[in-house]
Amino acid sequence: LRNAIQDEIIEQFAGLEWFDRYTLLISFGKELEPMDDAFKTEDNSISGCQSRVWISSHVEDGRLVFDLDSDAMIIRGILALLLRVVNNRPPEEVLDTELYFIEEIGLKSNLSPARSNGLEAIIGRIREVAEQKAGKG
Amino acid sequence: MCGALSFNLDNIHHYDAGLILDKMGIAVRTGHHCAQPLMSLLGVEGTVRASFALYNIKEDVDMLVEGIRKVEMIHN
Repeated sequence: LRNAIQDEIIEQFAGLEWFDRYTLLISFGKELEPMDDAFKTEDNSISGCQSRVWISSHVEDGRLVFDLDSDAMIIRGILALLLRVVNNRPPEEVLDTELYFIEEIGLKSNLSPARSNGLEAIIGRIREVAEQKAGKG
Repeated sequence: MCGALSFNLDNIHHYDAGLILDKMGIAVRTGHHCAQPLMSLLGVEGTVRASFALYNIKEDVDMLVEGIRKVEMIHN
């Protein structure tokens, strides 16, 4: 199932060489709203030996609102893209969304658990939160 | 003689530097290198580490320098 926002992201990255792809990713990372330090707790963190990621969430009017941050700028860029796709949506919609853009814009290498703490772990945490909230919905 | 060079670039996370260098075919290690006590003593989360060995030639060093310039360019 295609998703308009993911298609838009793929379009933005289409035809770019790796250097420009990463430049764009870093510019998205710089624009991502930093998370308040108060929320950067152990419970909210996914730590690996490469970089740190924090994820916090709450429900607002039946929609899941995520706050994501990382100490690495490229990861922040990926988080900014993830937010565009999953933020501010009902948990059921988050669960139904297949995140295909990551592979299509050539970021699949970032999925490896050895590189970073694994984008897969971040996506896993997002889905876990969505599952919990969908159950309560 | 020691061939391991551990470094950080101003305001650039070691992981970001490592990813870009990797894209250029330059193999470095990033992170805390399983030396967390030393990293916390130095007050850093990690470093980039280039290790030179018998098979490395001067051109490899030039490539690393060029790679580091590119890392800075992409971040600024």
